[in-house]
Amino acid sequence: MNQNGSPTLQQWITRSVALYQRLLIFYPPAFRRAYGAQLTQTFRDQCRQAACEHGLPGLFSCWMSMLTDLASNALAERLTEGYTMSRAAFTRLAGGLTLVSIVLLIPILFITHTPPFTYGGVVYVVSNSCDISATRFCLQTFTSEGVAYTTSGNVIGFMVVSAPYYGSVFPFVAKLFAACCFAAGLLGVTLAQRSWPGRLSGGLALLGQVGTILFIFVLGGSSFNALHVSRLYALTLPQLWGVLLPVSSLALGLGLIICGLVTFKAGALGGWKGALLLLGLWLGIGNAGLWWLQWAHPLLYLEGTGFVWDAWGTSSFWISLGFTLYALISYALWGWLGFKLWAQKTPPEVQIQAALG
Amino acid sequence: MLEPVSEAENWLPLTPAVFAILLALAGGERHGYGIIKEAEALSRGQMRLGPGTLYRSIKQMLSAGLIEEASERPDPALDDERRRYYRLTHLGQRVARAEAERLERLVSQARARNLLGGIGAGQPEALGGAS
Repeated sequence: MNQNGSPTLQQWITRSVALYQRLLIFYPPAFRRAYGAQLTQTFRDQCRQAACEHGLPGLFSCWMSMLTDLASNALAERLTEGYTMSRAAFTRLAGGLTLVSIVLLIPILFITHTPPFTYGGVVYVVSNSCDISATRFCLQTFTSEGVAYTTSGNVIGFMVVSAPYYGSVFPFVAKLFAACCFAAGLLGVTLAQRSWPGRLSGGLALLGQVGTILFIFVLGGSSFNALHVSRLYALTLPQLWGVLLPVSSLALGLGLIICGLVTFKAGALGGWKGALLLLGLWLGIGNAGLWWLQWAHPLLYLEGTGFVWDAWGTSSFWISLGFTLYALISYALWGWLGFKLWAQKTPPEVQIQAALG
Repeated sequence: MLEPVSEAENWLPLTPAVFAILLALAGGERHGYGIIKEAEALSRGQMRLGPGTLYRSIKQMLSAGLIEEASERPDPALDDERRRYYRLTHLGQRVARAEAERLERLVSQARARNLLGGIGAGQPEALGGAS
């Protein structure tokens, strides 16, 4: 410290180097082991020279260039080396991601049906640009009255119809991300299984979820109507997507039920074996019933709950209460599954390679 | 006597970072920070390698056999013994030469098209000589 009590230049350098050493965690372990000491030494030399020539501003400049260097090279090195993770670690990560998906749903409940332009015009334009791209990929889409029309000349009209219901890109991004997080959770469920029926059924549920993601993306996640897919809409969709919706829904529910039964019977996953079964039963049977009452897919009532929230008082009290409770209990089961996956500690260490590069 | 470069040409074109490292090491063995300083000096301050870029390139060049780690440091008494020094391999020298020749050919083409001034240019005034 100098006389004013502020750190000296040398102390700033020492702190910078210490922080840089921590940031090296972003490089793959093998690269870190081979070059970590040299990276640190070189950064220390650069800091010393920059501080010597230009003082603190020089050190700051050194940091700025180092951060871009770190970001680009750590990412490139990760992509080159691929990502290696033990099965146990991945299962825990999958559980954490599943919990993240639940956390993401909470704001969606409240903001999806807020007045338009909540997040400003720019975000709205970006949101609708995504929407146009997505809906163009599909042959047909629908107005809020359920009338089908082609997107070729009516994209703008569709936007106008959708605008009052959608004011931000956040629900689209958050919903898609939540869907991907839940898919990661299902991959964790599959990998945590030791028997082939467990793996097969887990994979079935995972496929169902992938179908959901495709559905959300292709139909335009930011489109109000596409996300409020009812049985009527599903039946009038272009053939492929019309089939994908019920099939993915069925696969998700059935997969989880069978996977839960296998887990329950084998006792393979310790204390959380009931979570899968309950979630599968709840999503499968509950969803089948709800489908006839407008709601189609487990992930679609993420927004559906918000809709019911809005419609409270205009719909039948018991129907509104039923929808809301159904969604909330589903979230709770979903969260329970995520927590139990996250708490897993015992699966064998089997290396899985997710080569990205 | 210079050797044929046909094998070396398989490595071309080099990235700017790799060529800068080869050029820096062409002047002798250097450690990481020494390479950075030399590359900066050779490029008149335009090439500023970060630590990540440097060691990723070094890793690739080591595995490709363009450079190798020197077993002895040039002056142990004056240096930190933890530093590692690198030097060009025979292949590295040939690749550096092939890249330099490739760039020279490009520069010749640029000169022939009056993009550069100086000796050999058809109309040197075209690039700012005329006022």
